[in-house]
Amino acid sequence: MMGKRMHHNSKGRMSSKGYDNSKPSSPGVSPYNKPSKIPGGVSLGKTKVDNLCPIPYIRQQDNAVTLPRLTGILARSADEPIGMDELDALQLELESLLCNTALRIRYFQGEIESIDTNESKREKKNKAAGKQLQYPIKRKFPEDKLVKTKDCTKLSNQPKVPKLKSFGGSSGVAQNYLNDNINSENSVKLDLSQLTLPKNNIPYKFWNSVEPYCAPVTLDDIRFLESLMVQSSNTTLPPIPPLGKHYSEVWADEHISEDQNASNPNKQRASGWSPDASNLRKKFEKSSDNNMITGPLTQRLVSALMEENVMPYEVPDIKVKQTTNTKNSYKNSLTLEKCLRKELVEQGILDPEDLPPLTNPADDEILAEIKKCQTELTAVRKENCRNLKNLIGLCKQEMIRLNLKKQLDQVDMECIDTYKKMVAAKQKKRPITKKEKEDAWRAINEQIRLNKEINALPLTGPNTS
Amino acid sequence: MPLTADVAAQQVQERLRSLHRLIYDIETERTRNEQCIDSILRAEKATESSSSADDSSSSSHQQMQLKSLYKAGLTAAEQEERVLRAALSRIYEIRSIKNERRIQARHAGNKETIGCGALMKMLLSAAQTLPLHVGRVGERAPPLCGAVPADPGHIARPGDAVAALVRVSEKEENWILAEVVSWLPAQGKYEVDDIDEEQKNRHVLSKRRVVALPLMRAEPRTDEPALFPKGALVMALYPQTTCFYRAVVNRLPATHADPYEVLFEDSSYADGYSPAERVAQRYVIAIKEGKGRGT
Repeated sequence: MMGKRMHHNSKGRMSSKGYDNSKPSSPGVSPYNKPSKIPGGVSLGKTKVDNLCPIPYIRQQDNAVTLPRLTGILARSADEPIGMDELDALQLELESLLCNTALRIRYFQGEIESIDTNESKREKKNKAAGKQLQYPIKRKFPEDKLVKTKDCTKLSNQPKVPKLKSFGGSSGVAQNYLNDNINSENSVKLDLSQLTLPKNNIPYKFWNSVEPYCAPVTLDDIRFLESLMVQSSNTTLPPIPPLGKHYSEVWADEHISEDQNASNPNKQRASGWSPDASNLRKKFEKSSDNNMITGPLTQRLVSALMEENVMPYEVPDIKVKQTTNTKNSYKNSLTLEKCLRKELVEQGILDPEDLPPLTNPADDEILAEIKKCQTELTAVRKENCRNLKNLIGLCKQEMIRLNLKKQLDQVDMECIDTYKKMVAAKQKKRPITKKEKEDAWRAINEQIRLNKEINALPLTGPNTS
Repeated sequence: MPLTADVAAQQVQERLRSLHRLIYDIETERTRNEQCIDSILRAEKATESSSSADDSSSSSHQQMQLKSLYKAGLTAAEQEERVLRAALSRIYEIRSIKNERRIQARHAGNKETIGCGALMKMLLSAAQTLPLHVGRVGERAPPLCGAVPADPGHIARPGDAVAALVRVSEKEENWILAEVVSWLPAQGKYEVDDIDEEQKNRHVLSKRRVVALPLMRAEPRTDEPALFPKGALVMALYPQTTCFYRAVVNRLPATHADPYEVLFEDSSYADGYSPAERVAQRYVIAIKEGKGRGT
């Protein structure tokens, strides 16, 4: 090669011009080693880096530095023409401006495209949401087959068209993205951040939900169970409150007081019922008090009196009371009942235990319901306590097993270590010392012992069937 | 129509005046562009600062605002590009007028004799002032731009620079830098002049032996596909000579004013390649397999 060139030089193409014909390859001779004279390349690079501006452009304030010839020509008036000698430099400067502008156009187009891409993505999302809403329609229409033939075209097109569109859009997006990639580095950064795929964290969610069921039992678990146990055994059922006023009385009182207030707005709206109201009500009630239910003994007494008209034995006080007072109020009847009881017990006719309860429980549905609930609750609580006790027992066993397992793991590790040591020793042809042998045996025995112990334990945990 | 010196000078003056006007226009456009860019930068900053508190509706509003700003910037940049292209085309026109004049003068017989130093300078300047192709978006570089080969039926015009394979001795052929004098269609041959005036040789060569040099440079940042890739085998003009030799592209030009960096095949070096040399786009051409060896 060199010889060729020498030959060619000797041919006289260059040698006669006094050029260094022996060193045509010297890089120093190359006229391109003066890049400072080339304005475009240097200036472009500089402005880009200095400004740290993503948009490629040459600031006018840098004119004097980056575009000296252009600045010179601009400073002159139009009368002073451009010289031919200025053309080369001017051309280079204009070219760097043009190239800069071309790059800027690409940058803007890339940015606009990336914004459009984002928009179309957003629209696609909306469309996807819309599609989901449309699915029920699609599912429904096979049911009414008569309508199907008519509306088929309309309906089937509806959900499909946006789908197709969005698919086309997405492939277009990908292409645009590729183009962006090539065209402008700056927009790539933007795009990457905007195109990050949604993370698929379902597996993590799943394993997180499963974890508590598989995790080893800890002391905290036992403590929690014990606290539950204490809670459930300590709580006593709420006591049944004493019987209050009958709802019909309360309602009647409310009603009357309302009426009164409505008729006399000037009167004070006292809390509760005014004494007039309860008096009024009592007056109304007197007529209906006849069929009022009193205590069971009173009822028996009354019925006996009414049927036979003759008393086998006299109870004059009560009789008087009955004739005069029974109709007064329910309260009075209760006192009558109490008196009757007292009298019967005092006379020795009835024992206190034989007395029927003051109010008949069968009569009170609500009380019966409360009692029923209470018995149920007690049963559940007993069952809970039993289960908790069982669980605590199992947990304690599991703890023991876990402890053993931990020990076993340690021993296993020890065994593996010893095995490795022994293999290494064999490879090095080093005799195994007695102590090492003893250690190995000890570890293996321990392993066997622990295994036996673990197997001897009753099964607990998820494996128990 | 013969281009007389007077007419040529008049045409050149006209172009120069037009160029001068265009340069004022360019500056006006640049002011406008700078305003657009400033507002875009402000908007971008605002978007960035507010993007932390990501509110989709307001961010989408900002995006739309940015988009309209970008569109304004795009229009301004396109306008600037138009004016710049117009100005550059004035310069290219002036050059072609001058070239035309030169060819006519040569035909008339009065060859300007230039020394070797001047020739080298001229070659370099011709390479540097070769029209630059800055592609529009989506536009492909035309033939004879950078590494893009000529169309199969391409006929180089008189005055075009070519690489010509000429026999320099009994056993040896060289690819030399030459200029087309005329195309002889009947024979399918070119009449070419050695660029080195000293040789005074006129060659008549078949079309196979003539490779047209690029008529345009390709802008690396916009038209990279029109450049030879790194590692490509090429023919490159050895610096300070007028001969083409086989070389490997070592580095592509970074800007429109940059040359290639090539490694010439050279058996005198241990690895078979010379140190890196800088060769302008105009003087790097695709290799003609089997012909380039010159043996």
